[in-house]
Amino acid sequence: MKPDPEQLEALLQASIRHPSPAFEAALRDIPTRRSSLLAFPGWRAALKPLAVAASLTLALLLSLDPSSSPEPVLAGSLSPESEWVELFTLAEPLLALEDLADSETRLTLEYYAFMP
Amino acid sequence: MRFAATGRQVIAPTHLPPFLFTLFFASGEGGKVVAFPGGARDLADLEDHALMERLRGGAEAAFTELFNRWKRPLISYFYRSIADYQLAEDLTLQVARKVFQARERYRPTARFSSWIFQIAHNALRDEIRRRGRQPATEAYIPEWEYPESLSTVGPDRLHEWEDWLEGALALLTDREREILLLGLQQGLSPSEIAPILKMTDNHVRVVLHTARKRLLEHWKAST
Repeated sequence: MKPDPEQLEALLQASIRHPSPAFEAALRDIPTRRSSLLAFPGWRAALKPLAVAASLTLALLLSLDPSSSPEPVLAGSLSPESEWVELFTLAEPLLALEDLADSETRLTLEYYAFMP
Repeated sequence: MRFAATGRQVIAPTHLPPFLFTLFFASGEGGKVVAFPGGARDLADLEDHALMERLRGGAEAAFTELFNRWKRPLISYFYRSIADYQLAEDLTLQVARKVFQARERYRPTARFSSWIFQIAHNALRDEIRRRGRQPATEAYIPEWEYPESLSTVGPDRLHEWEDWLEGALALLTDREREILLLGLQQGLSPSEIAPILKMTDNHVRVVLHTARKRLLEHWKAST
């Protein structure tokens, strides 16, 4: 005997009763599997101003001695210091893409983000 | 200084330039928790968004509470999608890791269920792209908790229906199956499903209707 249409919808709403012990152990492990740097809450937010400060310092040094300038990371019409700042500004949305896009969309967006 | 959203209080100089302020935090001083109100019981009363705020503030118990709520819906969603229990648990762990990693950049802009199923959909899509929908060769049959309306149905009959449902879901396209599960299994509305699948609300409604219709046609055709 097969389910009637209402029973069919109820069947779809069923939920797994107990995950396996191995799953529970792996889930408990997630917050503890980090390095000491990653354990610090807000580390990314804290490092961002440091990265921007470092990039501005680098840009300043490069502007004092243009002959030592390396190839810019982003090709375009922006000055090297703006490009460094832009690169660090882009880093945050690209990290967010890790969560909110599947691999194919991610690759496409990354391509357009860094396209000259 | 106090982070209002998390209740964490840290002692930090407020007039440092950004660079020195960063060094202060990087040194570990900024991570010192002076007061953190709320135990497991308090966490159980919090909404998912608030648990993410607590998690961002460093309360790992909030992660445990969050996944006590979401692990079963996620495993059920993955299992009905791919008919492989081990893989369903693995994909749920993948979602859990992503949620944990995203704790600092999480912003409560939509319903939490939409956000977590966006992550789940991406994990599922990547997995299906990688290997297709191949039911496990060594089938493990999980124990289910059914709605009250099925309480009078015996276990043998339910087992039979489970087999039937697995076959019926396999006949749907990936998109139909996913919309059916997000809508009927997880209770998301078409307007919540639409951004997850990058479709319009009306398109979701049409596909949901088609999926239901195809399931019923299969039901009518089967003996």
